[in-house]
Amino acid sequence: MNREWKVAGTYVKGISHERQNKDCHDRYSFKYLNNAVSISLADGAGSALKPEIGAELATKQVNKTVTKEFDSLFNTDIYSASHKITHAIRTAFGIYAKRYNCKLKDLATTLLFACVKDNRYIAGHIGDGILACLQNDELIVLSPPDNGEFINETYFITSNSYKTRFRLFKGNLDSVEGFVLMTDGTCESLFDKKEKKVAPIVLTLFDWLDNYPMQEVEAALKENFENLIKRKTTDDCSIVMLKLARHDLIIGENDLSN
Amino acid sequence: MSILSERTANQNFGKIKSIHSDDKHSSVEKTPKLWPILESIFIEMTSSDAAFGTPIIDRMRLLYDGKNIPKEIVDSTHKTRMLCNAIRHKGHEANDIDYKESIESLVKCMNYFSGVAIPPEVESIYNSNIVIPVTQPVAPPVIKVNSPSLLTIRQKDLVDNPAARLPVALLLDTSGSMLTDNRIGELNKGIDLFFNSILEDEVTRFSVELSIITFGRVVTKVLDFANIERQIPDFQKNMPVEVNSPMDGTPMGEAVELAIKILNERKAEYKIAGVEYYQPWLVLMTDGQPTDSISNATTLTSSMVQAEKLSLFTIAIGAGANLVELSKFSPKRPPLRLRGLNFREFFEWLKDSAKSTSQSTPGQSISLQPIGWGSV
Repeated sequence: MNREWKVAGTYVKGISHERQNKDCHDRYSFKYLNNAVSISLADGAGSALKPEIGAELATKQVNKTVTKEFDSLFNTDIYSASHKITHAIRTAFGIYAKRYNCKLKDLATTLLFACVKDNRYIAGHIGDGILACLQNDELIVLSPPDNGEFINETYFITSNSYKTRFRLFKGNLDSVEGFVLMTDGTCESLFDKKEKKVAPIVLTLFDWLDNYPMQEVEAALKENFENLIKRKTTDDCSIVMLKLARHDLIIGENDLSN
Repeated sequence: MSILSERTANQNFGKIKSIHSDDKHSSVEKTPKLWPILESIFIEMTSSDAAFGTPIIDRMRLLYDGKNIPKEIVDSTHKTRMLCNAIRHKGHEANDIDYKESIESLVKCMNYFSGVAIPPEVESIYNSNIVIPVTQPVAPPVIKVNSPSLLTIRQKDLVDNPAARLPVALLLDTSGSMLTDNRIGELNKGIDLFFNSILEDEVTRFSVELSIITFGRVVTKVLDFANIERQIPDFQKNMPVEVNSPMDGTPMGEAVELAIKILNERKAEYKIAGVEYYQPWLVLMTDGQPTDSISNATTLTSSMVQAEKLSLFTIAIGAGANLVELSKFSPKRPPLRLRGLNFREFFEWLKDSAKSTSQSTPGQSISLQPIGWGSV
């Protein structure tokens, strides 16, 4: 039997970028294809010239690759799957860079994603932010932030060390009912850095997805992020969640086609 | 006194009425909405004297210092500013009393500076003796089923992660030559300014941690790393730094080694406590040349600077400072010579640079403020 999934996410411009009249560098995306659903989130590097383009390209491309090639990626080894995914994203960057006469590093961005199909999942992460899953009503961190020693250091899909910093996870869903991705701005509010735990309120956000239409949850996330979450940091803030539907509000191919 | 326009005062009275009439939010949630009002008042009142981007604390000082402004206005607006900062940056939750006192401080300030009378419906928020007649029946709120307004995250639901720290070690020469032209006196004035501006700034107060080490007759740790607010008693007790004797030497190598040691100890404490931190800064200020061996110290700092584990600033005071020796500490940034005894400008630059570093995000290149106080 096919599982039915719901998705909601948002990104908001941080106070720092508001003051500087710059774009939000965070982006999220989702895609439904071949019975696979993928969500992704990226935080473009502040030092890059086109961080929001990098974030947009990375989120779209990773969803495209993992939904299209889910079975082969799942069945191959971690190293080959990581190579296929990162290669696809870096190739998309290369095409853009050539067309618009810029460098790969101008598109520097972190990236997080989670894709489900049948009873299986593939998830990946490079840089800061967190990737967590919902299992037996508990939030489990699959991939914590990957910073350098200092807070303002991290790794990007364009970094020289991307091969060693990219983390890939595969497995059976079994009791896993959802995934949540957050960028570092959101982590200030929803991730306990000392205990390395996701804030319990995120369980409530998953409940919202159970009980409300996706559009309403998106609107509520946007409002809460604008009014509260982004006030705890100067950085952009974003989140995206994927939840196995429990009720009759389910997604179809038409809902997830961006 | 009317340096605040009638239009701004009336607009802000309207905004306060609107914030207060919002029944969906509690005082905890409404209090931070008063910050933009505070900002708009002080930005307008200091628009001709302060540059764009000047912090509100500095604007308040510009407006209040040396002027005959009622103490109640000065104290209460400072209190509101500090409350808003605590809410915005430390996750502090305001209570109903905070909320009403903040409104009272803002409206009294606007009344004083604009001459516009406080509307009774605004005054009634904090003054229970004011009774507003009800002129029309109020419709009951419409409760929508499944409304997104039910989907609300509260302040108390958020994690209170500590602010990321920027450790700054100041190494100060207290050798005998610092008595020349009262260099030591000017240096103390600069440090006092630096400490207070770090303390008053809404960003640096939570991020910058200072350590002060002097090197003269002996190497002394005057101030150990800690949150700046907790350092106030020690700072007041141990400052100003003094030259013990005109014959005192310059044990620079020992001082730098001590600074690296306590920096490493502090970083270990951050790690245990789960506190994130920025690349530490070491600021070495001297008017002479080392009187002890600097070989170990320069090897340590050079390797750390090369590995991007330390930002090192060497500042030469006066013509007698040995730039060749100082340059051995950092393979990247050459020593800078202070113009005259321009400590004030140097420490203002240092504070502004610390602030921009404290606000940097991953991958963002940090550009320090332009240097106007010295030369390479």
